[in-house]
Amino acid sequence: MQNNIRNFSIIAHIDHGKSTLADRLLEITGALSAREMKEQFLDKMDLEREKGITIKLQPVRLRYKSRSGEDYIINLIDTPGHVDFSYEVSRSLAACEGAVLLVDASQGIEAQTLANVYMAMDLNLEIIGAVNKIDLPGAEADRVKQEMESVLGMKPDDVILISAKMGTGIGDLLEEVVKKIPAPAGAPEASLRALIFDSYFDPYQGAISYIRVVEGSLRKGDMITMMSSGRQFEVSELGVINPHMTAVSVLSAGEVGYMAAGIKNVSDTKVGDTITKMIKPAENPLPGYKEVKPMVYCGLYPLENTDFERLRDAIDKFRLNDSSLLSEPESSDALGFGFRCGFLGLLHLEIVKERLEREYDLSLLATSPGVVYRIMLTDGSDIYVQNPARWPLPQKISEIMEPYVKASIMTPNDYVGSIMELCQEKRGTFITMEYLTTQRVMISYKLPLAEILFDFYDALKSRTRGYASLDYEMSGYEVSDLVKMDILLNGEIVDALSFIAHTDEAIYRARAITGRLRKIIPRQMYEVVIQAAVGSKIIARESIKAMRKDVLAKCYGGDITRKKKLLEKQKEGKKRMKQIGRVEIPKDAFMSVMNIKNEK
Amino acid sequence: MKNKTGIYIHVPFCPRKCAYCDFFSRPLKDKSILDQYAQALQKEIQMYKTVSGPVKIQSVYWGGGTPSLLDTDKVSAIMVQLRRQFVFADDTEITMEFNPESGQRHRLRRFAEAGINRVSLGAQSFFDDDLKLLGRVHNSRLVYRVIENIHAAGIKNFNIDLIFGIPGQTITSWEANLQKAVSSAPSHISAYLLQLEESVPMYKRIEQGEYRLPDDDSAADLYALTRERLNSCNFVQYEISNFARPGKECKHNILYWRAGDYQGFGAGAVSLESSRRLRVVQSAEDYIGALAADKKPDVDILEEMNEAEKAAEALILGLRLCEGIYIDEFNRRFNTNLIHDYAGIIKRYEDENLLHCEKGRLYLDPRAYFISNYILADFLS
Repeated sequence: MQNNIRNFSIIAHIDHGKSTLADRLLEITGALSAREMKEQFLDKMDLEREKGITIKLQPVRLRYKSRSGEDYIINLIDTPGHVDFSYEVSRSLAACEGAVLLVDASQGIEAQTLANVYMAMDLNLEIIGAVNKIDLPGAEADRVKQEMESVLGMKPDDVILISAKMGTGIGDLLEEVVKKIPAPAGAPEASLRALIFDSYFDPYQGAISYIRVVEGSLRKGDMITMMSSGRQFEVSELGVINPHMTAVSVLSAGEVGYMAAGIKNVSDTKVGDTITKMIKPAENPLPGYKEVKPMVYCGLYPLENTDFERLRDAIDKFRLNDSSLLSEPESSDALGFGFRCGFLGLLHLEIVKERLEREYDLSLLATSPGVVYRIMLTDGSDIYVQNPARWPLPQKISEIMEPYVKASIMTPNDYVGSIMELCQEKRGTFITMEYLTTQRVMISYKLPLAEILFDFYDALKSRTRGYASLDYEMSGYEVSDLVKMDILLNGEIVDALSFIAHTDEAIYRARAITGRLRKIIPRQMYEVVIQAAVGSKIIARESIKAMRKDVLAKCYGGDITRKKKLLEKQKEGKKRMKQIGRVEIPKDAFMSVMNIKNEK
Repeated sequence: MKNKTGIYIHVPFCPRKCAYCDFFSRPLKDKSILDQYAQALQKEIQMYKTVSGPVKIQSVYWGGGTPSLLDTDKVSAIMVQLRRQFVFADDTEITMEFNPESGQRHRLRRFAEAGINRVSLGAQSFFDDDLKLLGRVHNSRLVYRVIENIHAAGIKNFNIDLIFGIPGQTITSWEANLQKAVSSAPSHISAYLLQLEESVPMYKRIEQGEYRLPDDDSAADLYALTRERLNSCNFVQYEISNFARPGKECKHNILYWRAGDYQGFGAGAVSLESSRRLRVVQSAEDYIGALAADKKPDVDILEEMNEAEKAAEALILGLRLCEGIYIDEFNRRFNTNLIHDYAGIIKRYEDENLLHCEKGRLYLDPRAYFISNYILADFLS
């Protein structure tokens, strides 16, 4: 049976059609009845469906009868496309022998296409190329095939043309999968080694782990050992996802499934850990995963201070499902107790915050996001600062360094000029430019991470009509001329609004931010003065006049019910505000401080 | 029921619907419905069972719509029916809303004979441009004439309704309006900021940019002017939008703001029975039909409040009154401790000098009137 198992992921740039292809595969293999079928079936979270993106990897087991009449078990892992979630992709790939690479027939190869292919190549996966969306009017399948040949070295004849939306070519693709992707190699009689590639918390069963059995086999009732911690558990349930969770008694080498073992303590099941058996344990764990380093940090605070413990518990449980989230407790004069959290990017931050709020019924406030700075102090030591509120006094600083990335931008050659202009504006240093084809160019720049995080991507999209794509990786720290900027409301520093800016941009940023705060802070009972300061020097000032009208002119017997509802609504609105001193600030204000798009 | 000291009668017909109006009323197409409606009102009152030992009725209020459209004899008959059913005080205030177009002299006289001792005139403005924009049927000439008629009918106690914040209105024209109202020698002036529900035609026209409402600052300036002018002419403010000669405050409306119980009659009429707010079916036909068949009209329960909700309501209504809340009375009524329960909120607004807690009363500072929602919202638990 192991010979007839195929494990693969679909990889692609965002929006090239992964989830649609997954839908079609579910449909064609009969995993779902027509009645059960809905778009983005594997995107389980409401949030994913609302945003039309995949956030979490999701495995599913399909049955396929090949054209030659053989029965196969295919494990497909649907993966996210956005760069912030590439960690999810890398974990998925490690559980597979192959990958289907999707490229949009009108967009061609984009930055994350490459990044994902490199990731698959590093793991020695068999890659099957497919050009998707060939039904669209703007499709240029031949050109894209050529690109795939010149950039990725794929033979044009091997690339399959499909339309996941229409269902065209899906049969051919499945044939390629069973033909080209190798069967899993691990010996079923060897000592057990199973990789935990994802997990989540179930209130009844405890941690549920998604596992790939690499060698040996695992049965319900087996006593297992987590190789990183040595902790032992009894397997209470094993199963496969087809696409509903279906219990099985055994998972053998090559299979993908889920496992519950009454693990209540979140820290006892680590993504990337290897499971072995108590009896006849394996000697060495599987390679596991690299620890991911967060790119961006912000404070998460409960809107109600009394929710701090609930937030702590929520973050603990959440980390099981998203190990890339890092957190440690911190406190703020303005906001009370909360957590400083590290994220893979701004989208990741936004998604985590929203998931915590939805899945754990919390109302959270995020402070302005920032990167981690390295500061050399005058006493010779150096520190890493994630929170602007912890910035040392200027006289103690000898040198400040900020993180840089190597950004790869792929673009039609028409836009090279405007992209270079953008990168210069963002304090970038040119590295290389390479023509992938006569039309397509890859530009590399070294850029401060902080610039990339905030508005770079939007600016890039708008200057290239959406044609350019971006991928980046950390390249290290470099000395930079930075200052800490404080925001004062009615003369008092709000520590949660402090941020770090480049000296050249300080004034512009200060103006933009005070202007923005003026717009988003509603009029209060008294005038509110907003100031931006570097040290004791005020460099920008705005004021919000006192509120003058907020009244129900008429309120008599017949309409009291309705008028009361208005006031209740108003009260709900007030609950979404955070009281800082005498000023009520919308909770989104903290996030939006950084979110200034080309207001220059 | 035994605590009801007020009666409200709703007449949901108007010659035509005004552009800003969101009350339950409709244009009158067939006048014959007016008599049927009056008949039904009389029947509804007749069928109403008074509990033994009722307290005295302190106020009756004919509202609408345009109650002055009703036949004077029919109103007279209904008043007789009310007196049969309820015990009136010696000085029961009996108000009828009038619109200028239905205020002929002989009618006013006949209404006065029927017992109407207070008139509330929906003048809204003394300027034709304003009236046209509001979609009123009347013009300024009619306003002056009906004021004459009110005086001629010997009705001393009358109110003039005015609206400010009408598109195109200026500080000067509003000031002139106030002046004209004062010169008309009413006993009471209501001055309302124009506020539009999304459902009214005027709202759509403003959305479409046909004309604009004044911004918050201009509206606040108009309000400040209103308070200053009327108070200086001895129209003493007693509620956010209401001013009266001392002793001529509207008893009926004060009953609402004191969260007192009252009985409503007529289609769409609302009643308050301690914790329950009820509303008669909002259809004149259904209402008439039911009563013609000797049945009670359908009544919806709009709200059922627990003690705390009731107290919160009494609080947000009472704070509309300049006198505010009488703390001891409030505590006895709701078996609570107002100052203790809302200590944080009271402190906060006292610190801002927007709320006062003195002489046994909790009341808003005049500076808070026009931003009162902001404060009242906090008192809703």
